Amino acid sequence: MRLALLIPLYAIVAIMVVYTIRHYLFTLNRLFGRHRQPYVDIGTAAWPRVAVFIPCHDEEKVVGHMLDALLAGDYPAEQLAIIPIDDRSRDGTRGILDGYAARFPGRVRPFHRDGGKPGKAAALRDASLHAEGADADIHLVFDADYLPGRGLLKQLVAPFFDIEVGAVMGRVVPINVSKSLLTRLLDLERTGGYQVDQQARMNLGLIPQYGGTVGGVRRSALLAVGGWSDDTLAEDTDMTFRLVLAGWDVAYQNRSECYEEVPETWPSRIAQIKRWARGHNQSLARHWWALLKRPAHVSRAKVADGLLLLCVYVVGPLLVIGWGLALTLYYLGVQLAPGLLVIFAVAMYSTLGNFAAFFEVAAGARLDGSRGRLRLLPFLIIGFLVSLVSVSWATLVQLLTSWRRGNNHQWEKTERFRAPGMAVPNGEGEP
Amino acid sequence: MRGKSARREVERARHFEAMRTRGFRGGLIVPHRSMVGLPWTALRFLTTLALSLGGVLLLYIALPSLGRLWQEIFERARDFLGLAAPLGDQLWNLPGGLEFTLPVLAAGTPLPGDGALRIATIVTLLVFGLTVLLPVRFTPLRYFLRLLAIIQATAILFFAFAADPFPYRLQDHVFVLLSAGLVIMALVPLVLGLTLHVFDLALWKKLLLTLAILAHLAVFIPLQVLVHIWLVMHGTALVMPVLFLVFGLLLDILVFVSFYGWALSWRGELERRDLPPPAHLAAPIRGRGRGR
Repeated sequence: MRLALLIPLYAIVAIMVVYTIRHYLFTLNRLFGRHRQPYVDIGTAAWPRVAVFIPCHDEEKVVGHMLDALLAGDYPAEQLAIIPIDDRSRDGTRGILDGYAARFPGRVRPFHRDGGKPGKAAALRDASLHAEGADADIHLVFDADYLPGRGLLKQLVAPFFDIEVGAVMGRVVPINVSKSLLTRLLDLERTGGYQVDQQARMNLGLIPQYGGTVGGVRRSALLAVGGWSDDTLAEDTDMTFRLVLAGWDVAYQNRSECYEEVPETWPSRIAQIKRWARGHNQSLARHWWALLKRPAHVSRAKVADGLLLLCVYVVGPLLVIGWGLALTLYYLGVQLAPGLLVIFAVAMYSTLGNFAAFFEVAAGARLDGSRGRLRLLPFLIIGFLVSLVSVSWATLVQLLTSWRRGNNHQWEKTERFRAPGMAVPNGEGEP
Repeated sequence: MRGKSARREVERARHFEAMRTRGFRGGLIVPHRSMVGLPWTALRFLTTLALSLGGVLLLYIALPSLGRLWQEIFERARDFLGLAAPLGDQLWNLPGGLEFTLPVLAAGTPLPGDGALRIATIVTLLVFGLTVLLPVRFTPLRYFLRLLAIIQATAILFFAFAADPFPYRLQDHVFVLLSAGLVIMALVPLVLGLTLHVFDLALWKKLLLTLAILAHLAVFIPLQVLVHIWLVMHGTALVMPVLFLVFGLLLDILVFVSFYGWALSWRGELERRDLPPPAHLAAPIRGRGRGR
């Protein structure tokens, strides 16, 4: 009985150690390794036709800022189609989009959806096939609360001059950092995730993740892998792995920064991370075996990185199981070795929280030149605890309801906090 | 003459190199944050190694003093807290033939009676109920209190229904926390070597931080254990699981991370000397499979 409990506990501790080593190697690489940013200096080129898709569902608070920022960009207007996808909005989004279309004919081309599957993935799939202007070579995607800078589109398109690149991802930077402790903690997590994690993956030739916004895909690659999946909550993770398995590269552009609005309230954050967890777990179920079989063009390092990436949201439930086992063993009178206890305590403290461990976060913040915010580092445990509970609960519910089939898709979006008339930075850091 | 000329050329080259990173009014031009890294030098490697190993060695040398300090703290706190139990010591055999004397308070482990179980059940239910009433902005506190309530509920169920006796004495609890605390102290210099000394902080700051964390833990750990003893003496063994799982090692780690975060908010050497951080950019074009 005791052995039956100890073996899985040791296995969980081993998994925690693997993730800790992974974080550590990524951070060392980011600090001291050679950075691959091969596309960032391209400023003049024969720019291809680009379609920028903005999935919207009740986005009246923010979508105007987004369109203004895109229209102020330096991408050649004749090569750019801005396609806001209005998916059955119940607020004033439709009117706002139609107003922009009237003022900027040919440049802003709204795609209204009143039927079909709801949700971002389904909206993207529909629009990428049927919207006017969707035959562009490159499809970029932004969420409606983002504020792209003037030169961002060129930066995101430049990697596609490399014919092996199927998808590109830029860096996400929170705009509402000073709103609350939660937004400050999310800012720290994002810093670790992008400044360190994603760039290290790019440096090491692993799998940078296309994150569904501030990025895009090559249309031919999109069509080659069958278009956007409309039955997933994480069409971004799903697309990342479908492209990698089909032999395309995913490029990360650390220099291509874009502001976003992070959740300002705990319920909003919980809803967001639960959605991410369920979507990511869907991708795990779909792609782990194909990845493990290792197609000829996928390196072993990519397979290992991909599997660890796919499993990140399983770590939370595993940790809960580990604590359950530890508690049971405690009542059975089994004393763990002090060293093992320490490892488990460290893992508990450092593994969760958008999965950027505190070393990664610290390195990212110092590289960003904003070291003062690191005094908040111990408070990350607050975010870790909420993430641990939310992710574990979402995974449990997903497992229990996985037998249910059918169309139960709906729009699951993050609450917006911006006032429609609020002054916002122009994406270059200037208000 | 040729030597002098060469020296002058080198100085000119250095001057021009320095000018490349100077902007308006002599201000420093730094690479964009997306491209900067940190310099890694042989000296940094050696100091990292020396600080890590030196920290462990220091702890090893200080072990007898640490044992006496903990004994002294227990002795004084026993009177202060009114714990009527004789103080002894327990020898802990460490790997490599090392020994460490841990203080032991020979106090009995009070087990909960029916009254204590009833009170604990009511308090646990009240705490859980409180979490429902708390506003959403206190969500982390809500979750934390629920975690405490769930662990406490398992303890109540164990003492109410388990056929086997509770497998721990208070002395075991104290021994595990003190010994695991010592393991954490031994790991501090090594973990700092891996995660802090690699940064460009001044050597004296790194040394100061190592000593500060060790000194803090040397005092914190026995005091933490004494608080546990006091709580168990007054709250019975019912509170031991919560104390062990939530207020044991996790608090020690929290202390470490707090110091770590504080230290990394300090100014680095590059910034102090007004030097730009290096950009370790890879060659723009490389063959597939190499550096991609």
